[in-house]
Amino acid sequence: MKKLLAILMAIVMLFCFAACGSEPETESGAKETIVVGYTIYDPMNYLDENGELIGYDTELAKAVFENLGYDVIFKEIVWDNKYTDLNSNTIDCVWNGFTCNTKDDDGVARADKVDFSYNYMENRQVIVVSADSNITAAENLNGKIGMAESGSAGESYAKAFEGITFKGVTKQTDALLEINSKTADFAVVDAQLAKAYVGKGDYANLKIVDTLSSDVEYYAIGFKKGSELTAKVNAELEKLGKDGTIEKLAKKYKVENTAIKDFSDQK
Amino acid sequence: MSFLEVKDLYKSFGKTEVLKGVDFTLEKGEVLSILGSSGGGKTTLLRCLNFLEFAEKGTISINGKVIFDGSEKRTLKDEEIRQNRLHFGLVFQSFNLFPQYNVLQNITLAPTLLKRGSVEQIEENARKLIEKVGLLDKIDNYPCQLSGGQQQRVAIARALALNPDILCFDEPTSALDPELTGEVLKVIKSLKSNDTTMIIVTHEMEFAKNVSDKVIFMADGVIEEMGTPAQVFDNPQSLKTRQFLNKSLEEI
Amino acid sequence: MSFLEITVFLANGFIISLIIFAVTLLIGVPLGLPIAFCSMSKFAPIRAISKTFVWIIRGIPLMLQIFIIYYVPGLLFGNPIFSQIDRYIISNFTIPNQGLSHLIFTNAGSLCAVLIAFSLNYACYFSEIYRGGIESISQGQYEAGYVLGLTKSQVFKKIVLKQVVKRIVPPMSNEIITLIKDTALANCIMLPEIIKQAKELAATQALIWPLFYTGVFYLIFVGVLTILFGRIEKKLNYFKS
Repeated sequence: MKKLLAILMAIVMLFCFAACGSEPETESGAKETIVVGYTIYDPMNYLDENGELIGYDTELAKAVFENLGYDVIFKEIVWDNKYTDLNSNTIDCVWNGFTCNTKDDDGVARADKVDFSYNYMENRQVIVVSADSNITAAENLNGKIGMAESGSAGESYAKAFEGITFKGVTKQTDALLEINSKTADFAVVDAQLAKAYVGKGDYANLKIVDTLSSDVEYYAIGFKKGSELTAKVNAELEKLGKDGTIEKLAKKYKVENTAIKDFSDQK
Repeated sequence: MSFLEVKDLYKSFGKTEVLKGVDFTLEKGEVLSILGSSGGGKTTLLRCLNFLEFAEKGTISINGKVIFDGSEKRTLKDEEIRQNRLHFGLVFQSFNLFPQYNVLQNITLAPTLLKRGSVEQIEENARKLIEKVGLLDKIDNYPCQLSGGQQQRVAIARALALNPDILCFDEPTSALDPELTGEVLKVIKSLKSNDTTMIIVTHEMEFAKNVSDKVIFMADGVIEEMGTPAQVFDNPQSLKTRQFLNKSLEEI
Repeated sequence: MSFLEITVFLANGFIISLIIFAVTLLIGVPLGLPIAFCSMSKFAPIRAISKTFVWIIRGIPLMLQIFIIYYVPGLLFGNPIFSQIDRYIISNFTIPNQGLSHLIFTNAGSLCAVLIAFSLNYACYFSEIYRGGIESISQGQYEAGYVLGLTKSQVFKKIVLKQVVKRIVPPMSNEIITLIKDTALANCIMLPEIIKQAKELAATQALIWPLFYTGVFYLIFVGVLTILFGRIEKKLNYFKS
């Protein structure tokens, strides 16, 4: 009896492991579903007061994929895990203010790791400090503690400063939180995000002191290497640029200065 | 043909031989005491009789029916072992009452599970047994509320509840304070009148002398001496028996 | 957002925490028993498999196990089952826009991964507690049952089990209290349990205090658990084992 139970259990345990590999692919319905990976990032992807996900990237992604005939779901990810999420097909793309013309911490260009769509927005990195801070520019950061989102473009900039201590957090907003609670002296975050948050709510006593990088950064949509979606999304972006949808969205989210509407030079 | 026949029993644990050919017989209603120094194989013999250990060689038969044969190659099935065990009852040195059951439940548990009659019959019988061991006032108590002597008396009642052919006692008073041994020995002695067959492993010389029909002295895995109490205690033949008895007397 | 709204928002997250808690117990508590039996089996290969399994599960951080279960099907077998669950649900169900059902529907895949990881992990911890409890019961209790002619399963069910239960209540309550706090690990794959919800408030509403406020939820629940286990212990106090 005991032995029988034991054997039965061993089989169940093996099954538990095997089950991971043997589940059949669920081909569901006529419409295919696209999973868009995002992090909370005002004004690109964020929740309105009703808790509904909105934002420039959110609405643009919806428009693009619905025009292409897909269902769309948005899946919040841990920014550090974005490549794993893409490579394991957990998500189909990262559409979340994803800076494309930069290198990751390992020195490898992001463009070598994923396929990018056309650039659809310009961005710069800024330094945010507490309002009463004596930091005035990128030059006097020696001996300070710096914060940025792990795996972000800001991290690469922050780590390049001489004589600073770097700390990584999982979200750009967490970096701002740390400045607020004085556990760090400065944060390097996206200009888009800084403009949206700094001076509001609990972030009221923060300020932007310096804009980094003379080179302009660009946001693009990241796909798994070799994805067929890249070309389709590019074509659709072009269409939406021409018919004024992008312009309308950019105005709605106050990013008309940095949003790219004409993709003809990127072909 | 005797009631119980044990023939040529051998048992070893690893390289240590504990029983080296034990033979004895016992008639129905007789009381057998087994004496001997520790390590002599007394407890192992009892455990073999109760199928808690299995001898490598030898036979055990009851009423002429062989219930254990060491030369048989096949291992006994759980069910056979269970049936064989029912011929014997065993009272342990350390009582081994079931702590989560009260006195009455300790005694009714096995008869109930073995479906030995109706609930009322089983309880009625249990009450009689409890009365016999003098614990009616403790019937609802849990083992942790009883003294060692009382616990052992419950254990005796528990073993009796199944009406075993032979009741075995494994040093029933060794774990008790000296002042408590009396009450337990008195209960055991009272059973004698009821023509119950008993095997008692004990260190209580005086008790063994009074209560037994037959005494065995064991040393180093063999029976050194066997006979009536008068033969073994007053006129021992073996040197080892004499030494043991002298030593026991000295201690007192 | 008002205090009440924030409480509701966090409570939704705490219900996710409680779902993880309840399902882990529902699967882990019974699953631990056969694993314990395998670990005590007289048949060496089964014992070895079981002990290795327990060693691996107990030897790897739970967070890593969540990652492994969540990502490995997609990375190694090209079959992201948990993401497929999400995709299946979006195309077959109408998903409410907000509230608890919204959270569950949109995170069903990650929730499944977390539940598998937690159940396996805790089953192994429980199995070791069971094993310790069973092995601590003296041989004499088994033998007393056997000489009374009881079967092995009767001895286990009627004699040993309750004594084991009494002995494992304190370590089990310890482990179960740890479990409710461990549910916070689920936010490593962005499952919206209460800590994740609080962080979201920090990110979207610029509110930091809700993160600390979550502690109240845990404290109240652990308080209830403590009282509950205290009662069970008291109930079993009538005998000494």
